[in-house]
Amino acid sequence: MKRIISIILIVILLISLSSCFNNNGVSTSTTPSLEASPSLTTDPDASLLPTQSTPADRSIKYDTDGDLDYQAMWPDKKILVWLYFDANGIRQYINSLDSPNPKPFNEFYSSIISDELIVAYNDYLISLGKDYVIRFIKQDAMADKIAEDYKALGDDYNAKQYFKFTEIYGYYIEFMKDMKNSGIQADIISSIPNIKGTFSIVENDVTIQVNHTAIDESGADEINNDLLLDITDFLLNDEDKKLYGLFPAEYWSLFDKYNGIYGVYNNEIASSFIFYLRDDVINKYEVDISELDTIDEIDALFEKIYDDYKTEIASSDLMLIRKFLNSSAYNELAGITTDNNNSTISYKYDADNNPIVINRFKDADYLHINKILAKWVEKGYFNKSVVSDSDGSASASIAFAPFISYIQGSYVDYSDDSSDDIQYIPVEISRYILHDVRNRLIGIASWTENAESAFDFLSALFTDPHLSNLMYYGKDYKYEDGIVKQKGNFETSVLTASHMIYPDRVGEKRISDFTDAMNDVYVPPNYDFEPDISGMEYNFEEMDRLCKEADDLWATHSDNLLPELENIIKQLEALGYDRFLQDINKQLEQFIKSKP
Amino acid sequence: MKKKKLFSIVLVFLLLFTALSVFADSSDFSEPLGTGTWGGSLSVGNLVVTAEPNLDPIPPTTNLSAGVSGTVWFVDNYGNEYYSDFYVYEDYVDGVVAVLFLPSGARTFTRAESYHYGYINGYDDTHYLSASN
Repeated sequence: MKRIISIILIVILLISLSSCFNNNGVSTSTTPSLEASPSLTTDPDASLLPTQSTPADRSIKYDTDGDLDYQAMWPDKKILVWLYFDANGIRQYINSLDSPNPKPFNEFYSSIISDELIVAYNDYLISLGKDYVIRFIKQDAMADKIAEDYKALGDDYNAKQYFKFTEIYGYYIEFMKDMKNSGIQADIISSIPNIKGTFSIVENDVTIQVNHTAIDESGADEINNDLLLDITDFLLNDEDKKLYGLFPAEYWSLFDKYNGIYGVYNNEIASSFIFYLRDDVINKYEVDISELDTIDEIDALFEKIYDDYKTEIASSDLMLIRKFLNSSAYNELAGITTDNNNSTISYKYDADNNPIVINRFKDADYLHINKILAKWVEKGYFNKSVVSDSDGSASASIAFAPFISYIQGSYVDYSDDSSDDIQYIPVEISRYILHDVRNRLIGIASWTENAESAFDFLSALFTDPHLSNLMYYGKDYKYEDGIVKQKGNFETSVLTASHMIYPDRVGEKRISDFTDAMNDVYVPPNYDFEPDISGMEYNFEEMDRLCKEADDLWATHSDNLLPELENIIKQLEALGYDRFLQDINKQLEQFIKSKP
Repeated sequence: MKKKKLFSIVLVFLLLFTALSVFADSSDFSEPLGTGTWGGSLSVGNLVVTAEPNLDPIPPTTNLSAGVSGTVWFVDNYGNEYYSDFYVYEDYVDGVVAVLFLPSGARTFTRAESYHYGYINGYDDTHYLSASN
């Protein structure tokens, strides 16, 4: 037995090593050279690629302080200053302050943007004929102030936890306000993304989890503190409507509540629900994936192949479909969208294509999709992956079980890169849906003296893919056959336009698809509609609980779905749920009437 | 039969850890601790984060403890960021492992940070690691 284990372990190690070598091989063979990439010119997306190149041997000049010398590098060019907050880098730094030998920030910290990358970035801007370059704000000043206040907390563990997960983000706003009040140059501003989560504190020797939303709406503080410029006039300037025309008109209505457009929300813009199916299954059953674009067709496929896999499913060695979505998200596939911030309210289009608020629990499409999902649970298709949030050992083995398919809310390829044997093929099962989440706002500083150039840059950032891919993948990335075969740096995403980033896997999103999709994007019935429940006297807490419970029924009470649902419907009725929905419908009608 | 089943489970875990960790970013450490050495690692993949401390005491060994706590970060399809704590601790063991799975509704893990704790026969130490995907 020991001998067998030894042999197997050796084989595993060899496979790992060979994968590493393969990986290295990929890196080497795809070492990008923007200067000489003949393959780029033959790519179908070649028009999206830079036509100018950066000299490979560009030397970097530094000033007497050891900083990048912008004047020497780009003489006579305007410098635009871009503000961003590297929360992760700074948090790592203050974490390190608790170690026995803490180092100063400048010895500890490596910027997410190297000098080489800044040079490549700015040389590219110059190659486009721009008369400006970008200087990215250093994090030192913010880090020093944050570290000083953190150290003042001494050994107070709870205070330090609150500081790291809640207070740290406020420093960025204060930093910008100080810059504005002192007249220090700033031109572009990246807001902190929406952030929430749980962290632990200790009270009376008991660990307590604290739920906290650090940033509820990216950019709101910047707008409310007059730190961002209203760019409406620039956007609607007839001479250059490139940026305005990139997105549907509804997208810009996200700024209606601010009476001005204060930048561009970088919230992935739009996505489609994707069904991923393992390629060996496609081949084995000669599946025509073009016919797999509804939940009913997927159900029919599962019916067809279930018998061949039921033994593995029964022994928890396989999932027919892994659950990645929240229980309620599947309702989107039936055309029912539930309000992101209020689970009690859901919407549909009526026969005349007008948005209406519905009682989804009585809707035929809702019942249909939930019955299918309950059947999948009953037959073990999910193989209990519905409990993957648990951290028990039983769920561990389940979560590690291989899966034949999955549905995600966007292109996310979980294929195993180390093996060609496990590859998932994507099928779009919904139209592209426009996102109305206000997140990752990038705008122009209200006190800039370079507003025109800053807008020109903003427009370039959101329409020129090279700027974002350079920032995300690094200066040596190479785009070939529709993908970039290397990992990107997520930390730089605050300095990118997410929809411009090339996929790094075959099954991921492609820019050409996105552009096409924008022409026929699906705008959800509740897009940008914010119901006002203030002043209403309903038991919202209980209604919210019941609605979430109902959406989870297919997973939690798959064997008794309809009676359980009927029970919840009665409880909701007793709380005046239908009357409440009528009230919201009236608000929605007013909202639609108010639209131009 | 039971041994066979156990073996197959272990094998599946090993293979999946191997497959999932090949492209994951990871960081680790190894250093002396009391009468022995200890080390730890943190690995961040799209679907799984693993964090572990391991103790390698020189016999005779009477007291051992190992623990790891930290925070994982993940994003959803709208670019919203989320974080969550984890914590594992055990006495009289030469290692523990925290395995975190991507929660429903999330898109991918992005980063993690971990504090590793080791104790061997009266000597203890902590070590901080961070890794991103």
